[in-house]
Amino acid sequence: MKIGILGSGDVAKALAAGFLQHGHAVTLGTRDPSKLSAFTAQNKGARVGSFGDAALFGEVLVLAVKGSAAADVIRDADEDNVEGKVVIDTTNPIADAPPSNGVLEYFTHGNESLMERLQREFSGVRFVKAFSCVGSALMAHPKLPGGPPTMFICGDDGDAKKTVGGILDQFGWDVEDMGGAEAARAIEPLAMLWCIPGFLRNDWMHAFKMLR
Amino acid sequence: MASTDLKRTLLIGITAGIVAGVVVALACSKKSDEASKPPLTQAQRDSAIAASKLPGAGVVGRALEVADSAEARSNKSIPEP
Repeated sequence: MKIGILGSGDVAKALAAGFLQHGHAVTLGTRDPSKLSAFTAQNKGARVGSFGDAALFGEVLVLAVKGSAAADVIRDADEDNVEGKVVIDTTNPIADAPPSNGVLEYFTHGNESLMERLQREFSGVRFVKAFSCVGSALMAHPKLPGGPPTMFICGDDGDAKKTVGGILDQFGWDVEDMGGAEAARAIEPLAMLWCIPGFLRNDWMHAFKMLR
Repeated sequence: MASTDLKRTLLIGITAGIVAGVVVALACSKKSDEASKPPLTQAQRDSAIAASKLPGAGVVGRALEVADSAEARSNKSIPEP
């Protein structure tokens, strides 16, 4: 599959490496290609271009930028390049503010998530929330003593969720579909919770699991 | 024969005493290491979140830098007594 990744940070690079490992073709989109020179030197299959280049290239796109920049980046990528495509939304609405004693501050509120805002603004895009509540070290092929962790996903388009579910399966995750875009109100705050064991014990190698 | 038994008993007793002493010493040193670790400051804890590689957590690091430099500026402007 052709994957366009919007972003050049740790999350973008971790997911790009995971996709390449499974034989997908990857183009990363960034405003500053120099940020990715070391990555492309180590990952020969990865290509780098503008946000628009990555969006045009990808059959599936990954939004891996800071939450407050997410809408701007989609606009930069050109809505025509994104329209109708599956977009894996990894973003968290973390405010540009220091955390409060280890608890992240969000710029959204309990009855509105970042993904709903994006879905409302870019109504032709098929957003699926995923990868937002785990650090990049565990995104691809997490090896934890408790077995495969669970990735909670949501989005309004059933086919898009099936596509993302297949990717998550390749990446070694159990998948729990939490329903429509509104469920992002519950999934996005999991990132706050995910940080707390790190805050208490400086241990970041954990993930959530649904047990029945 | 009785003397050999006595020697063996003494040897076992001494060895057990040494082992117990070493165990106690190690336990105490571990406790003292833990006690001597300074607790993390809030800024150190918050910085750890910035380094967690969680999607979007980079903004936390930048916000802390801004807060730190603002505090440093404010401290500089306080006249010395």
